[in-house]
Amino acid sequence: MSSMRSLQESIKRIFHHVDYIMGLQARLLYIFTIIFAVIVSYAFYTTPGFTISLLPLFFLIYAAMVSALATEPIDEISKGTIQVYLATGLTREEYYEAWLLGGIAFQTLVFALIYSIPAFIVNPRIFFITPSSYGLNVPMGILIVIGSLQIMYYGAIAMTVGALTKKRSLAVLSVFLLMVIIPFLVGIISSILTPNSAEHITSLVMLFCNQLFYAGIMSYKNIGVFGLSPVIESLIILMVFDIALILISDSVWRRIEI
Amino acid sequence: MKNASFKIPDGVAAGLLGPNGSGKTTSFKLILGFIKPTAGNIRVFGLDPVKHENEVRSRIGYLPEKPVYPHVKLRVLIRHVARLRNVPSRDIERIAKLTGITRYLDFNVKSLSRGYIQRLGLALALLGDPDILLLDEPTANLDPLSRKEIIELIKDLMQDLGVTVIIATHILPELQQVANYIVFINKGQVIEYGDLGSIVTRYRVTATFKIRTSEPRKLASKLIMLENIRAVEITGDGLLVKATGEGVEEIKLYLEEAIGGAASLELISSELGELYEKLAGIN
Repeated sequence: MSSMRSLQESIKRIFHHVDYIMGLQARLLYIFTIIFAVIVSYAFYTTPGFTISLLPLFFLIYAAMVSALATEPIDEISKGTIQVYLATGLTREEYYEAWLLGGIAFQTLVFALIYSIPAFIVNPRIFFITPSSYGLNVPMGILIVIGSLQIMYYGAIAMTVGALTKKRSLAVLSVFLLMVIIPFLVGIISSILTPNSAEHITSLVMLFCNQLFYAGIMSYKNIGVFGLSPVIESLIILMVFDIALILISDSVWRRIEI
Repeated sequence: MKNASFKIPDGVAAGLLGPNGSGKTTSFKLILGFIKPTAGNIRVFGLDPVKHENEVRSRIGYLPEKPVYPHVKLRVLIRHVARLRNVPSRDIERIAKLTGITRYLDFNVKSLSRGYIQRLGLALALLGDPDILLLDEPTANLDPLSRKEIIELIKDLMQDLGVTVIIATHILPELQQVANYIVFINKGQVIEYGDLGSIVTRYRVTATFKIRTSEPRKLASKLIMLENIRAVEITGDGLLVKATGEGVEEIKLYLEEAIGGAASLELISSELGELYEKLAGIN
């Protein structure tokens, strides 16, 4: 009975902090959300296929903002602001879970809903459209799921690297490397290799760095680098990485010293 | 911290004294479970503060040494801390009034002076009526007027709330106005701890005592003749006597012989600077 009550209290504290974080930290994200929502809604009415071509751009902006938000707890540790919250009785785990929910999961959901709500209102069949005229053979709904899981992936990386190193700059750098630098460098390096090995290396790196692009690039093929459908490979990698990163980050946060 | 072991009884105003880097803030962080001891164990209210974070910290109010608050309205921050501590919102007004920040509740934290930031810190620490208040350098980096105000506020809070207060500081003039118990730390070791009166006597530190007597003039005329008495002042119900360490023994002896020990010495204030120098020299 008492453990049930303490769990209830704990959940209550987590949601109080989530509410506080979102009100305080995510204002910029909400401004972008409103702008994106207006653009996407208009595009769905006019040319649904074109809407999906906006996905990579919105995805990059969102991933960058969510990753920046995910490094806020590290900033709060280095500044000492975290002491203000933990001194109240909020535990390290509750603090971490509040950031995971408010800083990453909720924002990812908002990204998914920007696309899903207008599509659902205009015509739910849009989710199953394959925008092949844009070179993509993946249904829109799946691309939205991959994009959302990947935003979570970058957020989780930022939070994990930040917790392990206690350095915000390293956390931001690690996301930037995965999202932009490594795919870009690999693209350059691949250009001097034979076409077959270049494609293989690029695909492999993309599968671990930028799954949305991997699914897009490989969508003309039925077989990915591990012999499964490229979309399935992207989804498996993302889900495994997301869960693993959240577990690692959680165990680091439980023991973090302030 | 090395083999640090000390106890602080309920209801006292304890000064955690020691030079910079002696381990005062580390002691607080250990008490709060912010850091883990590398060896040994620490119990607060009989619990491990690292394992029972909520149970321990919800009973402690903490004012950090260099608090960095988010740039929000005071009301937003206090309301959030109140919700985390499960404190009803009507208490926000009460605590704000108690700490003198009522008229600033709708101001942004960044617009406050250092003195008012410390008041905000005290307000946050007091939410939920904690059993212990840990104040880490509450007057550091404040101008003299703000320092005086904060000390007066701490004195008022102690009187009104009867809470146990532990103040980490190396600023002695202010501490000697409030502390009645001390823990002296140097280089991570606890050099001395206990009731201030007994430590002052043991280390023969200059101090001011109160002696209650029905014949203050008569007793004053006798005491002023003693060698180690610096000053005697007659008050309404007795005497205020300032004596060196040796003088305390003389007074005790005199009172024993003259009136059979019927009057007692009550420590009013002591020269903590002198005590500090003596204790710092031990390590």
